Amino acid sequence: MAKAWEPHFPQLGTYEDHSPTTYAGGPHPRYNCWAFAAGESLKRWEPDPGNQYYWPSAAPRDYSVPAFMAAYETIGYEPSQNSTLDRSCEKIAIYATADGRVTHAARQLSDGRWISKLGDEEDIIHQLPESLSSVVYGQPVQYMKRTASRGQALHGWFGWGLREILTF
Amino acid sequence: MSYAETLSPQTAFAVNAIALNSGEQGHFSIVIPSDDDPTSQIIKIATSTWRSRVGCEFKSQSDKYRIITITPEGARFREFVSQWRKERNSLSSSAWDNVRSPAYQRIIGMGERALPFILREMQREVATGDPDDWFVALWSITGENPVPLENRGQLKEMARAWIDWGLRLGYINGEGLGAAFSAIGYLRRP
Repeated sequence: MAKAWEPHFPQLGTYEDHSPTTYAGGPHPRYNCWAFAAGESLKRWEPDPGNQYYWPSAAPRDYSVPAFMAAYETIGYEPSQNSTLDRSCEKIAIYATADGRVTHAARQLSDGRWISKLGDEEDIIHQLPESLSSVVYGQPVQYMKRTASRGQALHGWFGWGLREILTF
Repeated sequence: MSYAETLSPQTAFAVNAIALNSGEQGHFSIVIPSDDDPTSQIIKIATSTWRSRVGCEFKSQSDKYRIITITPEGARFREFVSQWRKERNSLSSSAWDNVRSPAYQRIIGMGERALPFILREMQREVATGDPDDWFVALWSITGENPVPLENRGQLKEMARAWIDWGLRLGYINGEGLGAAFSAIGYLRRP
């Protein structure tokens, strides 16, 4: 059955539900999409003016694209020209609306697909960054990359099975 | 709670106190005499107080009496919370987006009087899971930030810091029963 949020993303196409649990109607999960893109699952990243949430201290505390780039630079990311899969790198996409306000971030998986946490809704794996282009999220406006961790690189080259074996 | 009675001045003040202290109970109605009744002036003062502190709606009137429906602050808070949870953008990851919700703004608009209700709600949520996005409201109302740097972004720890802050300042007590008492305390504070 189609989810209520699906019509908000006309370019979504096929996707995979990747939620660890279902949050519908319950309190917010601990992380948000910006933390999720950074690989953080225990705390929320938010550049709120009240300084209540976590935000890297070296980054400006606002919702602009440069502020988010500065935040992700603190964990090793640098600007990337494209979203093309490069197995030596981990990539993220930063989304913003036309007024330049950042709304979302997604992370590329080693198989080239992208994973997103949709607010209070599901975590999903989608085909392209543009799959989530919409009125709600705007467009992917900036890509960033960092050298892949060894596990990520191995996963990229050999697939899930070998990675799981190596991890254990 | 729902009841009706004809007000004497003493009753008016008693009902006023009830309105402030009935916490999260629902609406209730009272019947007051018409404007030419000797007690009407006092009642007007009392209802003026209600208007500033609780929802107060004239449901009907006649030559003999008026019926006023009172919504205590706790019930108003509950209504705003329910409305906020319906209208917020579930696809947004930004806590700051709550500020755009009219219902959330109305909670902030309750000012200091919302604090016991927010903090009690937080106590309840922490006991059962992760707390909701109350932090922007708390900061907006108080201008404070009791959350230690190392706990920012960790919702339960953030909530605990705010609950401790509320306990310290008397907005709630350790048993979670402080809201009504804080409402009285608010009236007493300059």
